[in-house]
Amino acid sequence: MSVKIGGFIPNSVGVIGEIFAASLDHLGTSDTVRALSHVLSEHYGTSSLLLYGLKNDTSLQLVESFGFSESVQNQFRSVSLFDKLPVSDSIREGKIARFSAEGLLERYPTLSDLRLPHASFYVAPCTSSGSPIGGFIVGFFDSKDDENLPLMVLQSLQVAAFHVLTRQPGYLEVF
Amino acid sequence: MLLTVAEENHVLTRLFHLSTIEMSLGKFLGALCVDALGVFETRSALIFGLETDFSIPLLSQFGLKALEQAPYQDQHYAQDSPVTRCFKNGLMALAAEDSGWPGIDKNHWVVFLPVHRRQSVVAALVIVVARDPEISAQELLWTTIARGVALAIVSRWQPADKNTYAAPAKLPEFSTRELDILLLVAVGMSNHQIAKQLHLGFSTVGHELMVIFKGLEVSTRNEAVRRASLLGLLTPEGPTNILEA
Repeated sequence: MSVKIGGFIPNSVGVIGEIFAASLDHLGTSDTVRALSHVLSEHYGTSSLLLYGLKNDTSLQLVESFGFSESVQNQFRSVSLFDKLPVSDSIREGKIARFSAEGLLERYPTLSDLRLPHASFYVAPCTSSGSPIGGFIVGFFDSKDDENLPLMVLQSLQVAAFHVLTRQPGYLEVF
Repeated sequence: MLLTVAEENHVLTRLFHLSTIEMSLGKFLGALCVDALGVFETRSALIFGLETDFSIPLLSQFGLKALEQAPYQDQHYAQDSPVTRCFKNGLMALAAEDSGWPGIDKNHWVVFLPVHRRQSVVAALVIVVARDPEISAQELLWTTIARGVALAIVSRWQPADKNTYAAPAKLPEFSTRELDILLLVAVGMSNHQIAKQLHLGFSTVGHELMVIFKGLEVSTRNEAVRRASLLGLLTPEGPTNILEA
């Protein structure tokens, strides 16, 4: 079956429902992100996630992570919205982006030192009423395309991430 | 009506969009009817919440006149009605004539969507649609719609919950009489009934209620019962003992 970007695979409806359920059944940031990673891993293979919240319109703070090494988390705990990094670019451009491991390093050569074990990455912005509030990067250990990971699933993850970010204590003051 | 893939895609994409737009619950219901669920020719939507005293108030509605809302207002969990069945049994759809809702056009369907939060049904969304939703044939889609709607709703309305109410630093101290009144309010008695039950003057009950409201920092009976319940001031045996006295 061939699906173009923006396409839709019927059985992804169930995965989208599970992503919503994970957001409904868990309230804490860590619990929710863990549950979301579990849903992704179950359907699309082991995944890792970094979730960022936008602070003071310019700074991206790591809100929660799953599956990425401690050194990666420490190195990218706080980055600028204007840094040449996948999440920063995705938020500024307001678009979901997909990268192979090679594609990511080609566009962001400074990341080569990280020696990330992933084969593919998705990066997505999170918005509230159209304004950016953060973004996330998901890494998978196998290669992905629009057929085996539909865009709709990423979009439902954006919704789930929106709810995680807006549930943060002091969200209105901080983000 | 079975949705095409493109229509399913549209419903979910619009639901994603609405979920991340800041708007009131009422406006969300309106947008849900005319936008995300417009494909079913959705006419109206009502949302009911479950309170800790098991009352089920209408929280918000779109597309109905006051008289048309009446059949489903002021319900209690213990009653048997389509709304309470949704709380107990989950997703369902009824033909208009089976819904017990005289104001609804014959050729319409009433869909009941449970709103889950932490695996409990905390609210129910009722929508009236002109096109047969065929829930049994597309249950997965409707379950996903229900979850997406639930996610959007719980971010706009906080059900009674220990996590959503910050208990005061010092618990209010009530007299035995005030606690008795609180317990009788919780079982649904009016001030007249409470006065009769406790052999008090009607105005005394009113005065004591004001003291209770002030102590709990609330302004309505429902809020008082909810907050007292969260603070552990309502004991199940309390009202029974008073009623049996």
